[in-house]
Amino acid sequence: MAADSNGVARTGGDGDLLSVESIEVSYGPIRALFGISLSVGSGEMVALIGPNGAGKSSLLHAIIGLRRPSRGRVRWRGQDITGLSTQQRIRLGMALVPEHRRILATLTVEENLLVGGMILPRRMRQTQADRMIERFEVLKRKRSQPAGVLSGGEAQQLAIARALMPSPALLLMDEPTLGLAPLVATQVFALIDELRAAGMTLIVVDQNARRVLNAADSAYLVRTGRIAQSGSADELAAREDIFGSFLGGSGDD
Amino acid sequence: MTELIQQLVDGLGRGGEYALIALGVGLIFGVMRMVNFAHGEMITVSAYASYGLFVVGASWWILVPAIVLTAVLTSVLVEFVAFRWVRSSSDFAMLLTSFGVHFVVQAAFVMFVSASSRHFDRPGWITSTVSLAGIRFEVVDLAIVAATSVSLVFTVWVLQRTVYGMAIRAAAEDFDTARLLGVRPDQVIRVAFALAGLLAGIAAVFVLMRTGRAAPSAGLIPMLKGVLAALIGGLGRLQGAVIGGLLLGLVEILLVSYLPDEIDGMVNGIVFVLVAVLFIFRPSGILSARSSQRP
Repeated sequence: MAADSNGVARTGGDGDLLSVESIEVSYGPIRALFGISLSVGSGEMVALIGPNGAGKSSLLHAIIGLRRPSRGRVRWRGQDITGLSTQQRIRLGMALVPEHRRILATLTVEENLLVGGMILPRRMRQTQADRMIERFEVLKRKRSQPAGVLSGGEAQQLAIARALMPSPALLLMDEPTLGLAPLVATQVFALIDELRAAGMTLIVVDQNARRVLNAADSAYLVRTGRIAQSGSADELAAREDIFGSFLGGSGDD
Repeated sequence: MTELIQQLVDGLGRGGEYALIALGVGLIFGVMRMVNFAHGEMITVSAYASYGLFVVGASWWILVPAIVLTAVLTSVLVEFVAFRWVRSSSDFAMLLTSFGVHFVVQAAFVMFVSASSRHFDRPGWITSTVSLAGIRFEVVDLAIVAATSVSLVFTVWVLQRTVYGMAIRAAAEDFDTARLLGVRPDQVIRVAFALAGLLAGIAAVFVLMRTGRAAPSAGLIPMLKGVLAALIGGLGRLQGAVIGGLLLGLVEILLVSYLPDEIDGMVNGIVFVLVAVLFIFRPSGILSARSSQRP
């Protein structure tokens, strides 16, 4: 298939932790992604920016296996994982912090963590949950309370802690600061820096393009289901025209 | 006073049966957003299994585990053969499928066994009574109350303390998120059906001990009562299913006891009117579900 060989040529490198090769994703008759390719190396942070509805979440869903692409491939350490289930991909070492946090409100804080560690053996699951509760101070106080009582910032911490339960190598984050107070958003970015320092590979979608570009190594501008621009995060951050067009919402290429 | 206590135990016994079935209905609704109108088929199939074993001379010591096992296998099999194919279809398609399963099973027994019911001996102690603190109780009522309590405690333990239980609750709240965290949809649905089958099987033991009868429609009334109990308690709320079942059983027994004999046949009608009145004030049942949006 021509599209595939294109993808391989475009991405490729053996050192990539994850590469996405010309994937297409549709929701029924509506196409959301039109042949998107990207790659992320181990320990790297990639920022995905672009207007609402551009397909950033669909891309993350295709990477974690919640959406099956109709064309294209997803590779993990060079291996084709396009056919694997979400659970299998989590076992390989990826995790997603979903948009709107998606905390399980009727489960306790601790139970949210334990479900997050579904794939771990029983003993490790509890040890790991204890470790997360130690690490995230706010969760300690509310350990046995229904997670529905958490504030937005606390819920975001829980969502991140829950995604870290299986000790992923690659963390996908979908709008981790959406709806959070500026101070709390700053804390989330501090946490992202911490994760990076610990060697975690990250793909982050964030509405605050300047801030996420500032934190990232490389970046992709996604627009109407296609990669409109890509390059180092600094390069994209310097392109005032990009900010103008996508923050303004007029999608003329 | 004595009479009232007897009636309460009688009502709890009957309500316990309903609660076991309602809990299964609630579990399946939780993970699939489907009201399973084929829930009684576990009882129907178990009834014929007991009849078959009875014919070859098996005692109730064999029938009891056989009934429970048959119910579990039937539940898992029905999920595998029918429901898994419509899992992501509309609510209406799932509802129709559950009706379809109900009618297919019923028709199969009419065609391959008989339209008329088959009878088997009830256990000898079923009508015996014991005296506790000067009050006479039917042994079967006490057995139901005991078995129901143990089953409910076990179910709560599974749901609260095991990771499968947490996965079921997670999937019941938000299936997509559960999947994202590594919960396998097949697995969690199969566990829910197995657990629902186990609970229905325990209820079936007592239904069959009381009636000693296998008929193509044996599971129909228990299923309707179970669904009603689940609705009364609040669909999707598992504690609600238990409360709904016990309440329904108690109200039925009290109505039977205190209504004049001439209108005894109206009990079911009156129950439905009461439920309708309840829904006017609490449209989603006693414990209304907090999160019932479909994934």
